[in-house]
Amino acid sequence: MRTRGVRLAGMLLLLALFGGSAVGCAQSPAPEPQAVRTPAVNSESAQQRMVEVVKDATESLGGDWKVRSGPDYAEACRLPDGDTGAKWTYFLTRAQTGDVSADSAKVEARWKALGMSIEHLGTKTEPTVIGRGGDRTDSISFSIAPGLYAIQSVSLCFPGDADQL
Amino acid sequence: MVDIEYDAGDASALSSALRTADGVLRGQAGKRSGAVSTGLQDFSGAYAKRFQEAAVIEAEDRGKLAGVLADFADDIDAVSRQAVEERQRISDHDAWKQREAQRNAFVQASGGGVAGVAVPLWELVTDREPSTTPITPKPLTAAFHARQRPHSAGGDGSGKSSADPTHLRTFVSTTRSADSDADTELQRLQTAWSSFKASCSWAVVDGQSALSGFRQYLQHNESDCTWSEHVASAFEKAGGAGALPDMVLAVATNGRTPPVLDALFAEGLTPAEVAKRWAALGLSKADAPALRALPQSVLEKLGNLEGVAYWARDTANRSVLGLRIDQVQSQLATAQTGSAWSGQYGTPFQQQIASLEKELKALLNIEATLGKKGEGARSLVSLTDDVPPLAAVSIGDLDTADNVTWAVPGMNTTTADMSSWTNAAQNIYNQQIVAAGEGERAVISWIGYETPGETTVLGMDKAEAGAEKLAASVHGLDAVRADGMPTTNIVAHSYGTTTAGVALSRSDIHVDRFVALASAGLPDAVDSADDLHAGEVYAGQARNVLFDEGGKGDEWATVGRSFSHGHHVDPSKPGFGATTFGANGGTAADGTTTNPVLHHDPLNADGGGYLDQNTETLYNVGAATTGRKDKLTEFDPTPPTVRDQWLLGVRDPDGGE
Repeated sequence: MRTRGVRLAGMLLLLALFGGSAVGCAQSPAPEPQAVRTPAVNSESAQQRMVEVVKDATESLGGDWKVRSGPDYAEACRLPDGDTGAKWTYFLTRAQTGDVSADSAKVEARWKALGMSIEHLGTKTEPTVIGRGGDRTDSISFSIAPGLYAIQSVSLCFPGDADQL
Repeated sequence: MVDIEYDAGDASALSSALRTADGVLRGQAGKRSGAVSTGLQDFSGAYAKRFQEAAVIEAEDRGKLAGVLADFADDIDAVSRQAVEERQRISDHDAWKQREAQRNAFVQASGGGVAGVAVPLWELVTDREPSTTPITPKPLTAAFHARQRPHSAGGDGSGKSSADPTHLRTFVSTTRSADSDADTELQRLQTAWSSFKASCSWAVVDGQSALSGFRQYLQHNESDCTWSEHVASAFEKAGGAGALPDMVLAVATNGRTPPVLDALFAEGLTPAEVAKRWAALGLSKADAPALRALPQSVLEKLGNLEGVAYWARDTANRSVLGLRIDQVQSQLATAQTGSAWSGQYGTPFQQQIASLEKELKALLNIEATLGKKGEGARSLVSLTDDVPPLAAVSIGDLDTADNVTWAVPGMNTTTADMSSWTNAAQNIYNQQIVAAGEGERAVISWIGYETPGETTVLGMDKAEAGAEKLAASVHGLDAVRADGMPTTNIVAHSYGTTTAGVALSRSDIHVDRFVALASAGLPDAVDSADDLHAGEVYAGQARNVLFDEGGKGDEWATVGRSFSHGHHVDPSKPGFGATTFGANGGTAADGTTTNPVLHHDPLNADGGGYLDQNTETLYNVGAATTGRKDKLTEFDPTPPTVRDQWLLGVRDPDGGE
């Protein structure tokens, strides 16, 4: 009985909070701050770090890489102090596949060495490797599609307004 | 002595002015024909013919007018001569009467003697009485009416004309200079004519329309100039020389839409009927600059008309966007500096400023979105006159894409967020390449409906109104691409799934794939994927958490579904029949885990929204919308947090997570 009463009180409290809060389904640029996990960067250094990691990956894979967007495509993000900042994104493709397993392993090893945690998605023949964290980028991925290698990267968040960049 | 009223000096001044005007008009022949030749350089098509015809009429009228003026001068001179004769006759008669009187007096004085009678008798024979009949002056007639010039291209307006605006402007300046000279002569004539009429009442004026006709002639000349300026301006707006559709020139020169455009804008047409009429105009993407010459009111209609090719809608909407930004900035500047500004908030004036600022913010955000350089060309395929406007930005070419995706947003998304929602659409577009390789695709960042706010998100009204608009947009693509319909997808988020759910319940709509992310609830009537007119239905739902637990999962979708009036259906539930995919990270075969979606948002500042880059859900959206079902990650429902389990009564608070 006591537990049920507490539960009911808890639900009522949440509903009361719900009644007075703004429901947010739209994208929110700056929710509550999370723990600081990225070093402080500015727009130039954030882009430079991202480009360096991408360049390292593309050079290690070789071939002709085509820039599809970025590295100066900006989006909003949250700074360690909770303020809204900006991040760069970078998207490149290579119109040629190779030894998929070896190439995936190659980029994965390089990203691990940079302190990133690794995630895997996709199929055996068309895998995606995601590297997240570290002090170079927010995230970076290497994907294989029919006739295509792709790298997508997101820079660290830096102070700035994505709509003005 | 009786005299006639006829001032020979005024008459002479009039005939002199008439001859001078005649001479000036005749002397302009070379100048005017040279201007016409210049105007006709590089001018072709129906409008060039009208220009030439107008020039021929002008030249004929000018010659005729000059002739009438010269004849008038001759007639006045003739009347002047008659006046001299009449005066002479009167004078002669008066003199004769005096002589006659003297003779009579002499006869009476002579008492009837022969000598006294002989002289008068002799004079009676030789000094005959002059004419007693007054001379009738030649009636003065000077009739001239300037003819109308043809300015309409005729036909249905479906032809094209080319012109060099520089040459037309040269024609205008030369013509106006000549008209100014002619007008000087006309004013002199009018002064002289007024004097003549006041001082020469003896003259009989049978009809004089030459001077009003002269005025008419000059008015028609000015009308030619204005018309030519409008034509030149239309070509200038279109970027200079080249061919322009006659319908564009018709609107530019008449201010009225030609029959072909009226037919296009007719009430009650289906998008398919519009598409047929649009195709009949024979316009291609090369005509895009020409459309910019149309007035804003026409562009506003064209830019939002379903069934019109998307390149034309983009052209029209971009023009309107630029015009509206200028207009709103100007209105705002006026309002902010106006004397009516009292600094009082909440006044109608302040509300007007707030409304203008809101509109401007959205318009500038749309402009910035269009200018952002991402993969795939961007088009503004709709822009309404709402405040803030509703708009849709396509990434990729809707006229040619073989895979089209509508990205339908949820609550509180307005065009002030166009750049942000388009970033989400861009992520989908890029991910489609990553999922399935190169292809001709388009993703529409569709803020084409008024999304709900906090007070309306739990109801159905916004979804039902939005569904009408979404259905219209789908029908528009069906119509434009009838000859080669692309694969179609709707990717909707949150309340966008409610809106899309209503739209896809209609029997007159069909898409190949529907992807529901973080559904705020599909309409209650849609309790199965089979109820939706979509070939395949997908659902992605992150762990449901309560609204204060953003960062641990989707904090709002449950609220939307649970507390709504009419949209409780969760498409991620097994019984619904959708293909569900992973959103909570999960573990790969090699033991590595993937980051889960941590928020209800499509894009979150920490990168943990449903459509953020390098997330599992974006990965799955890319796969689902390109037919790569084999790449989808498995749905991995994660139980609520420990606190929520306790609150919801499904778990003991001490049980751990």
